[in-house]
Amino acid sequence: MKTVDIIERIEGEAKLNLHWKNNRVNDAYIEFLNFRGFEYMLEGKAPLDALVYTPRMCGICGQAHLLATVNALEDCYKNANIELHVTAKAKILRELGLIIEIVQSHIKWFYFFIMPDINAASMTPRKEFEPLKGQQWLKAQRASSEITKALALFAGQWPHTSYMVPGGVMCDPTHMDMILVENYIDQTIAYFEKELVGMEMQNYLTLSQTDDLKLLKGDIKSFLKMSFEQSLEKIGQSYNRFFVISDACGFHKGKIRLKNVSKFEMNKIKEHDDFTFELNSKIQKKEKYGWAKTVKYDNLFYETGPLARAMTQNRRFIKQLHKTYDDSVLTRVMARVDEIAYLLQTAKTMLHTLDISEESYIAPKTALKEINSTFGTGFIEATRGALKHELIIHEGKIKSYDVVTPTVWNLGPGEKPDYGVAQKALIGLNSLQEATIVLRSFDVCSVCTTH
Amino acid sequence: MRNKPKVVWIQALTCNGNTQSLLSSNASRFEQFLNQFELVYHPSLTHHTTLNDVLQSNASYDFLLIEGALTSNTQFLTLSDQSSTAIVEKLIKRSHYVIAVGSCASYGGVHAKFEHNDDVVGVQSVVGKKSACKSGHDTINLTGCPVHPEWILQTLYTLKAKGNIALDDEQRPIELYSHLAHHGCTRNEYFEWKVESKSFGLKEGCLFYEQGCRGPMTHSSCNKILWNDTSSKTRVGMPCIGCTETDFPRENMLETKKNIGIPAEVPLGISKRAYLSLTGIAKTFKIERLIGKLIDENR
Amino acid sequence: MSAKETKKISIIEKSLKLFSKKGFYNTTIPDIAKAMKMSVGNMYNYFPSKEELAKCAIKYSTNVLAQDLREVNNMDISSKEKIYEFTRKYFKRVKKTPEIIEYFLRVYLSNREVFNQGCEGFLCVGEFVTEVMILLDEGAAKKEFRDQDFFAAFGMFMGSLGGFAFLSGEKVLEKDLLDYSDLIAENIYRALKYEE
Repeated sequence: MKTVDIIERIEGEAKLNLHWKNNRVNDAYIEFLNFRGFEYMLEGKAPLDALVYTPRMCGICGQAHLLATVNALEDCYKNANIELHVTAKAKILRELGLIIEIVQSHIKWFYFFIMPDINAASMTPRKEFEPLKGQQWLKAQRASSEITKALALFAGQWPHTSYMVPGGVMCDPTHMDMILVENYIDQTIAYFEKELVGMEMQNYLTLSQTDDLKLLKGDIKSFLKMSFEQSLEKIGQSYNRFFVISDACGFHKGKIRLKNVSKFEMNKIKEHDDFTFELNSKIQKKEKYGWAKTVKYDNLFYETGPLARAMTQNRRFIKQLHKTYDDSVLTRVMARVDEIAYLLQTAKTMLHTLDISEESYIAPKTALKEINSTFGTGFIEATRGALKHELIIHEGKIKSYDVVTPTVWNLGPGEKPDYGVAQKALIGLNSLQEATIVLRSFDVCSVCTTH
Repeated sequence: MRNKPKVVWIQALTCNGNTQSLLSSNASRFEQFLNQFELVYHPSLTHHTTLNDVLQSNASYDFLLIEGALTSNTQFLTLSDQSSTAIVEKLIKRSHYVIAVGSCASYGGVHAKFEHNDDVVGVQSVVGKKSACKSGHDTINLTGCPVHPEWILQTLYTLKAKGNIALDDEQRPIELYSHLAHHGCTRNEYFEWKVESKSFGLKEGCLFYEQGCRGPMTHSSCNKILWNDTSSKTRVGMPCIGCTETDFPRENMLETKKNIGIPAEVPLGISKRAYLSLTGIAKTFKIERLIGKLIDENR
Repeated sequence: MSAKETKKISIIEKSLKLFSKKGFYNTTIPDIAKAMKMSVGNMYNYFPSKEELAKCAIKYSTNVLAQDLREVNNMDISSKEKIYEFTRKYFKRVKKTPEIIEYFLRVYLSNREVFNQGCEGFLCVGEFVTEVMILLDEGAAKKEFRDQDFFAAFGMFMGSLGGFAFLSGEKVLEKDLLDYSDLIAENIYRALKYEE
């Protein structure tokens, strides 16, 4: 039997094409049927215009795209042997923007995207998690909107600011601006403590055993209760291979193939379009079933995102949960929640090392449009994982621009038996409800996946 | 209009930025919106209703909000197995008002720059300026990339209270788009005396002369209604990129286009001759306070 | 224009002639009063000092040129033709009222101390500079002129015209000034013109 279902609430929609055998998923295809062509749009544009275009690939993780672009453009300078100075202040203000974006996205994802499904599937659904009405849903909107104000203080707005630029940042905040930023961070910490985990963040950060799950209160306690009831600790497993592409925000760059974290070589990251639609619809082949591309490292699929980051960073609590529950839905959700605490703490540290008397921006000696020929790559950990931007500049214009998004790592297509990461996690499930929750555990973003 | 007007939000070729913008609205305002309107369907937010439910229902809706550019080309977008234009054409007949949320929905925006798809348009190109919606009200464009959350809410509340809203030539609510982004910019004094910002990353100076700021020629209330009650791009030092105007995105957005050193475009409604004479005079005054640092860290 | 304004202008025109004949420092307020058949006291009703008169004179003379260039700018012709047209007008002006051009070259440019209060930079020559900007901007916008630094272009433009007016004043030219007009215009145009 085959079923085809439209999955919504994934920042766009996808088609979930499942083949069933003995009431279990025997084969799975995730189809992304929208394509906006950002890489094509960028061809022939002035290099700095990429700072305006790329955040608009995704309204949810635009800061990550912006920073990846800046990194790629700065790499263009490096490859053209032009020296560039970026102050510690500018670097902090960039990463702080990214951290705020990730934190608010994780909060929204937990309450708006995954909890409604888990709650609805529960035997004892709770009113407070009901979308648009429930108290906890509304508090999540409040928390995400409030922390976004911290970003607006030095980025002007969110989404779609382009305040980062090769050479630094465009803003020059005052002490008071940054104190206010810290106030909003503290407010978010208080929210995390009161609503999410029901304990002080400092105590939360000392948790290190699977048994410590019992200490958690707040909405995570409800989540855990419902998860165990639905056996979410037993489903959603994929390859158990993890990939983290950048050290920014204190993350630990590396890959885990079997057990240990090891270095990777950038040139072994290979993207292909064997299953991706052709622009020219006349030459479409039948094995091509969506707009998502496929990306592998050394010809293997790797999972990217918060779980991967917790693993390479050796964050104890999540590592223990992973040891017990593998790369299940439960572990994946906990890794996202855990990352909120880790990033809020990192943000505090960054604010305390920030020296606002440094320059915000040091103009590069040459404008990119004056460089005849160069190329660059930018890597960053976005909300959903490894993000790579790569471009070639020719005669002062963008000749080509390539983006590999985290969702391509996790949701890009493969085929039996070499399934993509999310695809593999779907095999063997015994209901559409489970499949939807497993798919969602990867924090699907349809718009990023195809861009 | 019913006591709690029904709102349906559809997404087409979009980055979801306008949804994220709406979710960034002040919590008290957002909660008030949820109390006073019934958000029947939103692809990212509602749980029990799907797009198919909406399409198959016969219900009428008070507000049809569309985020993203529309395309009839199913090679590049299908939603519930249909083209986005087909969906809008169906829903418009059951909706009292139609609002294009954001620049993409208004006129194609960034997405219209993808040349392989030759049918990327705004809502009004599909449903007409005088739309087929039930109230007969003109299609409303809320331009901006993304649009401010408050602009969405204030438009909805105004229509709820008054039944109609005055629009400008681009179909935008006059009260939101008669100001320029320049109005209320904290760097205005630098503009008055033609003191340019020496580079990015400074509190001092106006971004119009070198950094490409479109504040003096962009209709928007960005510096009147601050983002999330907090700030604006120009206030922190990012030039306005003119995202509420139909020529967005333009080329070379982060630098001022000049001809032989003379700004190619001058503030809206001012002749170039008048502007250049004024500039010449203003530039001769060397105002110490505007040349130095605004805040001297070493004092 | 009020009677006082008209009178002021005739004083300026007379002064320009005297400055050009006797030199700026050698011409005194009493000299000008005498030439105007006015009392020295009455002169001061119009201009409180010679510096003040000097500043008004530079505004007056550049406004004459600004007016000429504005007329050219408003013509519906190519930017190249505008350069030819203005050069012709400028040389005619040099022939007809050389004192206006000479005042700019010999007094304004070489006696900056007289003009350092209230006439700094482009303040007193603003109208003319604005017209040059309009000419350059439109030419570049229409891709008739190449993009370049404003001052480099302005300096070349004014330098050519001013320098030639100087040669004419020194009476070293072999032919009639107007015979050189198209040659000079051609040189200016070549220095500005757009290159692929």
